[in-house]
Amino acid sequence: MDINRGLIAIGAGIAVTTGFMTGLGEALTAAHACDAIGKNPEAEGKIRSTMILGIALAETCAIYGLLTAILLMFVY
Amino acid sequence: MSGVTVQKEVWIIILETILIAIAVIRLSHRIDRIDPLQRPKGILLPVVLGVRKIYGDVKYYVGEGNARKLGPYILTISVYIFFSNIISLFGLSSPTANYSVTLTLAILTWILIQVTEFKYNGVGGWFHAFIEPFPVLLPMNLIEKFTLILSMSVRLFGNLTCGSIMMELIYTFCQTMSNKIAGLLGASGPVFNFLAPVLTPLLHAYFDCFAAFVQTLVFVTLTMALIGNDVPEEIKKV
Repeated sequence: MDINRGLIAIGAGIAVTTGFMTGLGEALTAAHACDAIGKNPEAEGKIRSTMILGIALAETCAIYGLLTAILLMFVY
Repeated sequence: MSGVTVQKEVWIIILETILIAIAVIRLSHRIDRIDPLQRPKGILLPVVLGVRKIYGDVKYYVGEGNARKLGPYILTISVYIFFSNIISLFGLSSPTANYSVTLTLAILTWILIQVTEFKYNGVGGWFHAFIEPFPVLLPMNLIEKFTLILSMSVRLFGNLTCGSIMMELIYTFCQTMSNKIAGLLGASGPVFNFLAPVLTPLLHAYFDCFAAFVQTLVFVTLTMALIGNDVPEEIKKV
C-alpha cells in the first residue's frame, strides 16, 4: 500500500514539471513585448492585450499539468 | 436540509457581498452630491479614475455601444475577484480558492462569448464555425469550445490555491524552526511561532497582494479580449 502512495507522488511531481518550459516561454513572450513597446510606444495597449492572450494560451499547458497532479493526489 | 453540506466559503461570500454593497451604496450617495465642475476629493478620486479606466478598456475591446452593456459586468467581476483574492490577508479563506466559485465565473464568461457570437454571426454562423475550415475537424472544434471553461476556471483556482498552500507550508516550517530554536535554548514543548512575523510579511505581499492583482487583471482582460474577438472591427472603431 505504501509504495503506491509513493508512486502517485512521483507521478504528480512529474506532471507538474510541465511548468518548466511554460515559465521559459512566458518569460520570452514578456521580453519580446517589452522590446516591441520600446520600439513602438504608441501601440502599448494593443501589445499588452496580445501579450496577455499569448501568455494565457501558453499557461494552459502548465494548468493541465497542475490539474493532472491534483487529480493524481486526491482521486487515487 | 439533511445531507446538504454548506461549504464555509458560502458565508465568506455573503459577508464579502454585504461589505462591497454597503461600500458601493455609500460611495454612490457621495458621488451624487459632488459638484461635477470640481475635482473629486478624498476616496472619490481613485474610484472615479478606476471606473473611467475600466470603462475605457472595455470600450477599446468591444466598442462604444457594447461597452454600455458590458462595462458594469466587467467592473463587478473585477471588484469581486480582487476582494475575494485579498480577503485571505484577513485570516479568512479566499472564495476564489474554491473551485465552484471560479467555475461559475468561467461559465458566465463562456455564456457571454456565445451570446456575442450569436449576435454577430447568427445561429447559422455559430453552427458553421464547428466545421471550419474542414468538416473533419468537428471533434477538435467541439473540444476547443468547452476547454475554455476548464482553462479559465483552473487558471484562477490554481494560482490562488497554490498561494494558500505555499503560505501554509511556510507557517508550518516557521513553527517547526521556532520549536527547534526554543529547544536549543532550553524550553520544552511547543512555543509561540516567533519566526513567522519576521519571515512571512514579504511573502504575503507577493502571494496575496501581487498575485491577487495580477490574476484579477488576467481574468478580466481575457474576458474582454475573448468577447471582443467576435465583434467586427468597424464597430470597435466608432
